[in-house]
Amino acid sequence: MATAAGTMPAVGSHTGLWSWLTTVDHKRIGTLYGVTAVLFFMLGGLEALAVRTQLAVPNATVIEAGRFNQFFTMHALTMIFLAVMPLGAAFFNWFVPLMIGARDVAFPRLNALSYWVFLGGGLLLVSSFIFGGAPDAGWFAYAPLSGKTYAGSGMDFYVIGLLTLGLSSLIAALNFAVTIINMRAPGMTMMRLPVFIWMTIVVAFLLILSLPVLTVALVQMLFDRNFETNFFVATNGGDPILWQHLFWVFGHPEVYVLILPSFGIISEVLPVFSRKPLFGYTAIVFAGVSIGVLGWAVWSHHMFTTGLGTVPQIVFSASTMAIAVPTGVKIFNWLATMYGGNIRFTTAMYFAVSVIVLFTIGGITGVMHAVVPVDTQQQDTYFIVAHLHYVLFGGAIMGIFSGIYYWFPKMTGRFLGEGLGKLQFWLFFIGMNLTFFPMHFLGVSGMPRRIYTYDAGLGWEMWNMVATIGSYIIAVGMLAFVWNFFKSMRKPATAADDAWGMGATLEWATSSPPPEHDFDVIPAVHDRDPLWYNRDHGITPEPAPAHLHIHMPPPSYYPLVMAGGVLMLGVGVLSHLAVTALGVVIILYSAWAWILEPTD
Amino acid sequence: MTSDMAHGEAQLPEVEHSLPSIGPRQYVMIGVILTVITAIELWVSYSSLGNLIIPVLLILSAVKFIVVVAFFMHLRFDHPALTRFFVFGFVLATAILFALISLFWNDATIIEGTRQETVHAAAEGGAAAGAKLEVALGEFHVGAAGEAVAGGAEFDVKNDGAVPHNLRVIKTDLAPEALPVGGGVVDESQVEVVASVADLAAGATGSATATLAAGSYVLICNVPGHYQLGMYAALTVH
Amino acid sequence: MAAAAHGTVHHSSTGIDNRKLLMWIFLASECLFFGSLISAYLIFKGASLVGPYPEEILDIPLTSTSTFVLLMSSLSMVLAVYGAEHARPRMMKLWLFVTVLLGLAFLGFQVYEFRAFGQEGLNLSTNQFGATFFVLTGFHGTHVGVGVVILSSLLFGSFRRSGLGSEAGFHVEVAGLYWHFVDIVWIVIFTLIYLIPQ
Repeated sequence: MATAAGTMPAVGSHTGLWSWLTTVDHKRIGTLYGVTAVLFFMLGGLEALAVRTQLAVPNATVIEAGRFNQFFTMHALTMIFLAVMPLGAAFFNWFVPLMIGARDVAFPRLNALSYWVFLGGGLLLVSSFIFGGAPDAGWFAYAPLSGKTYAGSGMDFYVIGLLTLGLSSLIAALNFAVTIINMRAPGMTMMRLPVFIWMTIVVAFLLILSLPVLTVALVQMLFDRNFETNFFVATNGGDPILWQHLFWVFGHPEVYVLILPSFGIISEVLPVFSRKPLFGYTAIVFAGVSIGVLGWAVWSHHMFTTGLGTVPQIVFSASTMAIAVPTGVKIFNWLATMYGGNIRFTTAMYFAVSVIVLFTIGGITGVMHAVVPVDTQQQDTYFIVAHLHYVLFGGAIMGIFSGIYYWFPKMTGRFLGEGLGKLQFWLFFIGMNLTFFPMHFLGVSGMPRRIYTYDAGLGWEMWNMVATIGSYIIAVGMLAFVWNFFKSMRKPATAADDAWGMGATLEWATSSPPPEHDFDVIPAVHDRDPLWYNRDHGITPEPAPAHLHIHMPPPSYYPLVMAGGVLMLGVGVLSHLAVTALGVVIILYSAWAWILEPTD
Repeated sequence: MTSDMAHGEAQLPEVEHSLPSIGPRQYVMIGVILTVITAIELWVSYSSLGNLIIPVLLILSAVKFIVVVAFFMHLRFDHPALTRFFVFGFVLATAILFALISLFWNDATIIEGTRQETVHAAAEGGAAAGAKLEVALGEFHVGAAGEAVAGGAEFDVKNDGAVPHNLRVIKTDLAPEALPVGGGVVDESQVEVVASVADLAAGATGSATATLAAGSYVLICNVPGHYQLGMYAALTVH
Repeated sequence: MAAAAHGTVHHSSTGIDNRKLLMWIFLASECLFFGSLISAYLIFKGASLVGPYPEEILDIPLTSTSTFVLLMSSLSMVLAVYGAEHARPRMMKLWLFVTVLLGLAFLGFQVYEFRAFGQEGLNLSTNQFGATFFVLTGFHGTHVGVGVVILSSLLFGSFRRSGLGSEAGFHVEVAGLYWHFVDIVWIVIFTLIYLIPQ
């Protein structure tokens, strides 16, 4: 998407590498997030392919056991923290200001900082492959496996990498929370916000409130591994279960952080391509908020087999079942939105509809795990792997691709090819079902997750082979997307303001791609679907004044410098204290310069 | 949060900058009150109020907390949305704190129980060295005297933990944490096991006898995984 | 603090300034941070296998003094905010200076306490009390340290020719919010760790 720069007005500092390093424009930062995340997505996909190749046949020797542990751990970390979360952030960056009618986010330079810190943290995490081996204790890093007795330096990269990425997410989440609460266009009340924006603010608050818990757990692990504390070391009075609790207090809200952006995206796509307003807007919004609140009360359902005791099991089982209610509300509202609509089957719509189907499958297996005896049987089997991939691939990734196809004309001025798009959709849809559905069978027949190989004769050969074939089909689908992307970017930018001819929300009221200041005139909002209201009431937008006097914040390189300092803090913990000290100096210097930098 | 609807249509409202209506005199008064409460807290903590001490101290510190937030941080005079955000975070933190503590309540008492048990066993074992050795098993540690005298010995084993444990007495010169491991257990074919007690249910006791020669021994529980979780203790025989 | 995009500095949907809103939501986040640290402390209370135990080592009179110092720094902070908001720069500078001094004094007490504990044989690896105590109070101390740096830069900045600019009151107020939060965290720590007996 980097070539999108060519479509920006070619004014002095607005082109070239330097302009990307110093940009504070939310659209460019969104593009940076998006491109980086897609690259990480492909890296995570390669890691998954390695895992699936090793498991294709019994007693395979493609990758040895230790490497295998690193690959499945890094696959999870890459997909969660370096692909799905930043892809969500890419859409937040691009469309929060556009959809609420603002010229930028509340804190443009903080926005740039969060991207650069993310990039540093991501590279740090991935670099562990070169420096003594990647993390290998699984993405939830249970003690004592993650302790210094059993895990090498990879787990230190895990701790530092996640602390850095957590800082980036916290900064971004604070920024978006403030932007949505405070920067809405006149008339854009909270109950007129597009559902995507509502899901964004729920995600932002989930991150703001859950990341500190992860930070504490990671710091304790860091101290256990490096400063001889015994938080999770049972021998000396510690308790490995404490790690599990703290991790899942963060981890469960994190699951909603991954899935809610996708819910928001399809809540935008479905009404537009059904040419009907969203059915039950209020119900969908409150369902999203209650998922966010209830998400805090279910974390121990990941830990039923640790022996919680009867009462906690009942409480967490009940709260987990309760969360199915708001989720069901959403599903039925989406179906009702399509019911009786004049549906246009674009690629974006294909992906959106598939989310409803696939997420329902993943959701139902999720409710199964709320039943303690069932969960005890399925804990750590491939059934769980099937469940979580139906939620994260079928729910999150398919939703994100729906968003990419839907908003691509707005972001670049060009449409992605529908033919290749539908090819990609079918490859993804068939591939993911071939990969993940057999895992239900494997899990029920007892195949544990995270084993690097298995003997013949256990009845697992066929379904493992099917799953591996499916994963290669997904990879081909991704190649179709990459081809589609480059093919579209070679064409001229011809998309109209309202590229699909039926956009309801404010981003379709400005040019494609939008000017740096987003809107020539900040639009006034009278309805939940402002553009449809204006069309039906014959309201034409105010013409742009002949001379625009809009000052946007100037570019700044201090976010980049400060992110460098943050990265050095982390690198210093992993290498030498002097590097940390230098990092502190750089942070202090850039903070001081940041404050004094003129912003007009 | 929809209270801003009214002025929505035309232009966004200006940022309010109303100043709180209290001045330095009141601030100093509040400072004095906070100091007095702190003094009362100190007095309470040294007093003999018994069971009342904890609730009284919690209430007093809550009062200080609220006074600082309401007046020093101006929350009482500020936009109600700020109060809502902060209170939501604070209530969530408190709720998670209470949930975690109640989830760990049982475990904590077990840990505390074995601390005294271990000390106890050590004292007795030391006194009766050469004849009887008491061993306490728990999650996940082996409590026993570190030294014994060569000769006949009886290991009296009690499982103080919540899950089954067993005991293996191994004569070895390896460090206690460095025994050969395979498949989650210490490989008993590679070491010299001089005495063993089969799996004991929680609360059960058992015993085994052995003739100890001078040298280094390690006591372990060889239920899969337990050794790695720290269930070993060194025993030196003189 | 980052400045808002031009044209929106003085307007917002709720009437709250962006930066103040950011600070309050950040403080909500900090509640969870210290809540988790305090949870770990309370969960491991009584789980120390060897001494020194808290009841043997905590010095209540000393810590009461440092608590008083931090409480007074909150008072001086609010006076500095008052001075900044009422365009009385001399008052602001004086009380900012006092706040910085009191913050440094609190840190001095903490360094003294840590050293004393170390001499009595308590460190991070001694037992669960040592680990949870040092990590919790250490992170609180770090927050005080960051606060001292922020307030010192405000003080330093106020001596420039242009002072802290037209929004001086605002900057000092937002920094003050952070400072008071650090104080209320200490109110909780002081009660839960020092005053409440075994």
